[in-house]
Amino acid sequence: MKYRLLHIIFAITTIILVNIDASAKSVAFGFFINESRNESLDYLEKILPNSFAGALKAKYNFDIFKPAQIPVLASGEDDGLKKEIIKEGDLKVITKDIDADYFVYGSFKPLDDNKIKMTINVFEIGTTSVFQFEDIGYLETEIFKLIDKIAVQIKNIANKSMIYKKGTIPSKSKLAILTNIDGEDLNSLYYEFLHYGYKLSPTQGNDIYGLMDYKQINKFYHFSGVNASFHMIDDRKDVELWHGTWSGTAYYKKISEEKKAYEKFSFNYMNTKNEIIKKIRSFSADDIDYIIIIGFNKSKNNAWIRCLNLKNNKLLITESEIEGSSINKIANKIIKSMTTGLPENI
Amino acid sequence: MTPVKHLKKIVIFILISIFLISCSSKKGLVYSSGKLSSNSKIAVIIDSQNNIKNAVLISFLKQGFKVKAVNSSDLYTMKDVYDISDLKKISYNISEENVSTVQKTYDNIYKLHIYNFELSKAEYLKQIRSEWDVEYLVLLDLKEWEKVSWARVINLKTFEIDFIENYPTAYDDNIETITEHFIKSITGK
Repeated sequence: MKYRLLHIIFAITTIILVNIDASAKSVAFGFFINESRNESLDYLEKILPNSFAGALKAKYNFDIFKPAQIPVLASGEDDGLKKEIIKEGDLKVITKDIDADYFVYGSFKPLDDNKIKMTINVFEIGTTSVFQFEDIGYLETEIFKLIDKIAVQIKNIANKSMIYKKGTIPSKSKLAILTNIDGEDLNSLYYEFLHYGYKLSPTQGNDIYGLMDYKQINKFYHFSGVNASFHMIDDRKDVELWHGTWSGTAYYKKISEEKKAYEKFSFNYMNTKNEIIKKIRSFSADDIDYIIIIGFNKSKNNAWIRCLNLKNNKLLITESEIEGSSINKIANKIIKSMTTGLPENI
Repeated sequence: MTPVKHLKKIVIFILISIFLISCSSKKGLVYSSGKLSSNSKIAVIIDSQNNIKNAVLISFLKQGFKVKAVNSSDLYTMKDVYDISDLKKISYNISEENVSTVQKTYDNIYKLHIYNFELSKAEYLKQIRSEWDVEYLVLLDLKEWEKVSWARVINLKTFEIDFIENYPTAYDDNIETITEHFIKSITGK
């Protein structure tokens, strides 16, 4: 009896310790580069990553690595080389020897009225995706408020739920929902939104059958707005199209068209997408406020969302790993996410 | 109690449990933002054989609706929207090479296709409204017992979903009874 009790206590303790270990994340920071010519702000290139690192460690118990602790970054500085904005195509090489879950880096530039705009990139090491977002705040005495605000965003993005929030969606807004469920399941989803007071565009719901399955909806998993984006890394080196005097006219024409396709759908995708977003916005019969993408897994017990404000093309909300035992329960969690501000503590 | 009687009780218990679980998982729900008047001009979309379609349309006509029957395949066609010429230009075989840029390009082509397709459908619905003077689009999917029939009504004046219902088909339901049930819910009569 005594030994059974000891075994139970040991098992419970192990489970608690494993969960504590599993929840501690590690983040390495790169420099935040001064995009302006104002060298008096160069001091922020080190202050910013060190401040973010400090906030994540002190408030959220992250394991952190500052730029000075990362050999590939520190060696560049020691050589007196001017720091440059990291190219996404180089992330794999830069981070290959960094023993952390995430790598955060970015840039900033001063604006009028003593303001500063920061661009922050959160890269999950080992993947091919980056979460990038912007924030604007005041310099000098107010800068630490901005740093704290950004630290909260980083903390929420740097985990499996990947929560990003730039606002809430009030009821009575008109939503266009794209999802991979249809029929009675789609009605169940619609029910919760209608019940909450949202208006629903007939987008997708105007057909008996849906267009996308659980694999196809995942093409929307990477999603962008003008202010923030979760995107796959693209690099022109990936698609080098060899040509030379040996090419011939037909081959050259083919690779020129291929190059145009990559420009349109990868490197300049935001411009291409903005054209269609403009068309949707100007379709006056259906005055949509927000586009909501909801991707369900095959068992429909887990979902992710992406919300775009159609009026200003801004990414408002991302969240993944929304679990529930029914579509209605997941829908209610989504609505709660859409209507509440950023969680301070997860 | 003999083992056979014991076994019979277990089997009956299991069967009843399965029945109750399957019943409880099929829940009905209904939302309506307003009642349709029964002399409204509607287009009905239903994906069924012609005899079933006719039975449904007759039920609506009997109630006074002015009905146009449409197949969704007539309403929406993907062939004019999905431009696969861009896909053909990308020469990588995606199954053999996992190249981030190429994957991103494929995904973005697909996403834009979906946006364009939804926009085309919306433009077509606007045309139905203006050229056929249809006020509401009614979608119906009728299912047999132990499944869920559902209905949806789209207001083509406001371009909003006005009505939805999931109705677990009862054992004694048929095409007419399900359709009449939905008509009652839609009109509030």
